[in-house]
Amino acid sequence: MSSSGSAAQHLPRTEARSLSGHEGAVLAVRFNRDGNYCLSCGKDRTLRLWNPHTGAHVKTYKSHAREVRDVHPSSDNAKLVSCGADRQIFYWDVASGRVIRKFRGHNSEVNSVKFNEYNAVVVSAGYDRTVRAFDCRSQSSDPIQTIDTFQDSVMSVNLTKTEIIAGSVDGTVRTFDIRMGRETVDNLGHPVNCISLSNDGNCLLANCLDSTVRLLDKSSGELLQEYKGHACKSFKMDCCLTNDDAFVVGGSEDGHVFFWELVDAPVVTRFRAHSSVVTSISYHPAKACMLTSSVDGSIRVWT
Amino acid sequence: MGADSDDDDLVVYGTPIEREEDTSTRKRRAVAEAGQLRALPAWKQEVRDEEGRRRFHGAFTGGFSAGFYNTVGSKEGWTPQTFTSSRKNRAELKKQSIYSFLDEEDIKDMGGNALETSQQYDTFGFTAAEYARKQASKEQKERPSAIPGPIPDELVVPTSNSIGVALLMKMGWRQGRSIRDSHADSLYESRRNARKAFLALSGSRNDKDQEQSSDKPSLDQAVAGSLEEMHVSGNTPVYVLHPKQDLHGLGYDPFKHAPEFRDRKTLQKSRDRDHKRNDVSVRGNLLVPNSGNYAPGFGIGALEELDAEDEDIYASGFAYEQTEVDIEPSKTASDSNYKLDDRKRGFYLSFKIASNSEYKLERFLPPEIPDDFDAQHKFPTPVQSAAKFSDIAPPEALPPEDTSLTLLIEGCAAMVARCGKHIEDFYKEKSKTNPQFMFLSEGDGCKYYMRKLWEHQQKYAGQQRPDSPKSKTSEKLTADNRGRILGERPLDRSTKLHSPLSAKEAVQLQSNLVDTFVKPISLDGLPESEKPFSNDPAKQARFEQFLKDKYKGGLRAANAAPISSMSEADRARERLDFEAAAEAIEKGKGKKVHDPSSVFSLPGMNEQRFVAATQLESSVVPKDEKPIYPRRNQFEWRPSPILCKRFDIIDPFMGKPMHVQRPRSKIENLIFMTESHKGTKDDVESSIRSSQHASMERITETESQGTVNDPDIEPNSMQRPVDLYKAIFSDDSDDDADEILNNQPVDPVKTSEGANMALNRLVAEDFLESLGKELGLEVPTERPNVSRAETLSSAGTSVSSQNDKITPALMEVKESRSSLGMVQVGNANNEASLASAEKLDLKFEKLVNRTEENRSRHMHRQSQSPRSDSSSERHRSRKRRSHHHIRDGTPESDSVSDHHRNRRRKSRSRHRKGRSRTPDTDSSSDTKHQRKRKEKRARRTYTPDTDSSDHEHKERYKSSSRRSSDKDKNRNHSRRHKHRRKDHQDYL
Repeated sequence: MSSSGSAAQHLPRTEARSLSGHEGAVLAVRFNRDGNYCLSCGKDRTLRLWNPHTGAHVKTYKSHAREVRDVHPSSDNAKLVSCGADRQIFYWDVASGRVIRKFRGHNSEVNSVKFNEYNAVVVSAGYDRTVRAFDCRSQSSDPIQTIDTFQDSVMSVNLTKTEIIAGSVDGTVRTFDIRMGRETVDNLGHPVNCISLSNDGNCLLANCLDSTVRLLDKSSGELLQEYKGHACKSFKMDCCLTNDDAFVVGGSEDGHVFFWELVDAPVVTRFRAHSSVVTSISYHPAKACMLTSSVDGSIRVWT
Repeated sequence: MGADSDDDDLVVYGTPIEREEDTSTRKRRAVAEAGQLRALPAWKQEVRDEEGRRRFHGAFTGGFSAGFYNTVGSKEGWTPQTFTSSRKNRAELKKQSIYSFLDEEDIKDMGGNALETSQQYDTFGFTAAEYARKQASKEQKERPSAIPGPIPDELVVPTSNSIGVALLMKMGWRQGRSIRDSHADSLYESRRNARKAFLALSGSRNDKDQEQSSDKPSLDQAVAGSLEEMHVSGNTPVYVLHPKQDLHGLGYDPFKHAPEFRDRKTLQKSRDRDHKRNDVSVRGNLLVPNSGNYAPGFGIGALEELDAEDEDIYASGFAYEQTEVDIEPSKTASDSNYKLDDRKRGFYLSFKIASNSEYKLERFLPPEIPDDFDAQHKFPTPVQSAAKFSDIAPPEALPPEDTSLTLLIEGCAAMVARCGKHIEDFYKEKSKTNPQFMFLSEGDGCKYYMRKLWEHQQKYAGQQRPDSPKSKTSEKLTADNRGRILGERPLDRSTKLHSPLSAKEAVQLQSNLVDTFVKPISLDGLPESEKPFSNDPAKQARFEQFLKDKYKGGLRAANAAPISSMSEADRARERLDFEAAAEAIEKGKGKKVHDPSSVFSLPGMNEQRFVAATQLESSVVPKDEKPIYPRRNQFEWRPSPILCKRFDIIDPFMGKPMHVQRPRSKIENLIFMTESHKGTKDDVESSIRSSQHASMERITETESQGTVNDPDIEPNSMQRPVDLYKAIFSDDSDDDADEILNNQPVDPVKTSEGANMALNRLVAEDFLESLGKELGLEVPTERPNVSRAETLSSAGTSVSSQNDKITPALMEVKESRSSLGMVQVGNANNEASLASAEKLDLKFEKLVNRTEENRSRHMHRQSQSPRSDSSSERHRSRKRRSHHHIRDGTPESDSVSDHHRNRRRKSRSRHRKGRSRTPDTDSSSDTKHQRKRKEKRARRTYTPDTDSSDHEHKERYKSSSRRSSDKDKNRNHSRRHKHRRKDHQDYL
């Protein structure tokens, strides 16, 4: 307890800087894989690349026709993939800022998008109740796989080496194991907003719309813990684990950021980060650094 | 070097002898090809010799080729021996061997000079013996025969030492001694030293001997019988061969049951040996059974005389005598004793009482029983408590006023009597929470209960006793353990405490339940009250089967053989009924059995095998009504192969397609896929393509969907064979089919077409049948043995019978058309520019086309209905169309318009089949089409009336094509609706 207490001391809660530039709500903010840069996207139909440690705005990517809902950098930082309300998935070249390819197939807004480990496949989740996988290596813009077992809008998708994990408003977290050819459905009973994986890959964090963050054991589907206290009822909001898997971080609709201790689920700390809904949280892969974005149009860097 | 210079000067004649490399490469190639050749079929394989030359040819290419090009010669030809004068040089007798006539291969086959293992060095193998035998046969002549008589002596050979043994022998080793350096023998060394010391002490008297022994230790060693020698020889075990010398079968022990005779045997043997050693003449005596070598395995009758042939030709040839060593000197000593006895008493009188019997029966003492052992096993909750009760009968008591309570008491008492005290304890525990069981401890009915209990105990005492010892030995099983083993499902917790079922029934149910758990009996003995379907015995039987299945546990049978008479829905309904009834019965139990755990304790009633599960109450978690989250389900999921590849994972299904429920037969699928289905698919596709015109499309779509949902689909499917026929044969038949559908009995032409249709149908059916046979499928034969005339009439009726169903669909079409009209107007107002207007025109035509398609479809179905409204319908539609089809200058007759529609339909259906034609080829195809039509006309009995109309058609088409040549865009649209539609897609 003392160790976690001391760890709690180092939680990022002081605002280092604010990254401003987005006009309108920022819907997602993401560190790149090494944590040196970050990407944000928002309702102003742009993607922005920042250096959060200096506060420099590096580049703006414009091509989306409507709001951009999610962005994910490739592991080699050479490519980006973004999605939004224009039903398309844009595959960008980071350096040139050009769109390499547009993936079509979704019949409605695309909520979440991710690269796989080898950056060969882009998996997206959409409002059209499907998860679609696109091949980056072929010229085709059509999906190579469409998963349409969801009953409702798919809010979030996550990939491991062998699995596609997606959370849906129908209250399920579905794990598609490619190696086994198996679909595992964990019904949580409440709409799932966001899912994120623990860094060891054993646990699954699901942000549900009943203002509860649930921690599941990925292998057994067991509910390990529930984290409560924040407000999450109508917005798609991110949650994540700290890089040492000791705390759960989540935003609240009132602009607060919550830290829960992983095992016993008490609120370790909470502070007001934004004036409005905290839409996205990204935790630095190594350091005690955190990014939050909000509907108020600001991105804040916390150390 | 000299050779080199020689080479330069050498003039070469003839073909040089093949180089070694060349042949070797050829060989290599031959070897390489050999592998490939083997894969080839037999008739493609070629026989080549090892140098890769082809030695066998086909009859026309040389046939069998042997030797040098089918000669016995050689490349050099046949050369006679050089003549030598025999006068001077007498031809010496040339010794010819077989090798001078054999070539390399043959020699190799003979194994003549091939490298082989030498028999000599076959250290332990059989060849050594073989070799020895040969040697022996050679020596046979020189030495006197060991065995007299007519025995082929060469068969009996002395043992030969293998090379290893021979070498060892040469090195000074002797049989029976350990193999080691004699000088390194520490024991020997130490002894020698000791002796030296002793001798030194004792004086120099034996100096000489000492010198000798020290100088020649090997010699010393060689002296057999010395003390050391004996000692050393112990190291190597001497394997004594026990030769088979009797006439019994292999492994047969004649003394198995008479061990006394074994001694006799050994005695005899030793005597024989004595005889052999002492008296050679005895060995030749054939009457001495063991002296000679007789074939052991072959039957020689007891009275048969021993002949020469019976001599043992299978004997291994080892001379046993040489290696035979007595291992039991004591026995030989006793043997000699017996021998003496024998001499005295005669041959077979030497029975002797064994001093110590070898056959001692080993007996074990029974295990000691500890003093405190109690032979009677006591159960924690003894059944024998009954005995306690049985002694003193409790006083007679009056039953309580409440009859249900009385029954409950009775049932409870019966159970306690059967199962033992623990049930009572259990109920007592229950009674703390439930006032119903108060009678167990006190309150009214307590005395009555005691009395009843005693009575039941008396009753069950007799039947319990025999069981009890068994139950003592058998291990205890808890009810839930057993349930787990059997795969039983825990019963649902019943929430209702009181149910309309009486307590009596509850008790009965309990006992029934017990039976269900203990052994799966049939529920025939179900009391009347539990037969909810007693009025329907069949249903009751099914219900009982259902109950049985339900309580059988384990894997339920997938589905009891479905009753053919019942429909799926009926069965489902009945199953629901059964479940409800079963639940009601269970709830009835709930009155008595307030906890499922008590139900589980029931299996212990008949036998004491089962103890009540103690942890059961904790394990039974009260279930909430709402499902528990998170809930996990697993399904099969097929990742696409490319996804697997991209994720660098092996496809778990290896590209195998998803298991889909196979349609019962392909033909069926073909036949019953309705046309409207295909149509909608088409529509949907096109709607996707032209999504920008969704609004307009949607109208038509809904329209077409409206037709899909119409009830007239069913009659539609009845005519599928023709559809299939159409699908298979050329599109020309479309016309016929449509005309067929259109057939009007009033018109003689139509009747003829009706006949045609029927014919077509017959042909189609025949075709289908044959196709089905080819595919190995069962073809649904609708009218197996109907004559053609009958088919004709039935075809007519089947068409007319659909008329009624078509009207509602028609109404719908009408409605949708009116809405379409609105769209038309709106569009006309909006679009202004010429090009867009044209486009609109196209679009609109398409729409009209569509609606007309739908309508005409209905109309065709409606066929010849003479209703005024429908005819006016038609008229109106025609009018509108003519308005848009400006080029159709003249109004056409009804039949012509019909034809026109047919043509449209045809083109549509052609489009459906995806047979798209490019505009360039269109004209040619058009002419082809005409030609085809002409052909058909020749074939078929067309009236001139239709012919002319047809002609008109052609004319119109021509004109339209002329017009269309003006504008490139318009070209296609005026030709075929198919192309019009296609162009639409291109524009959009």
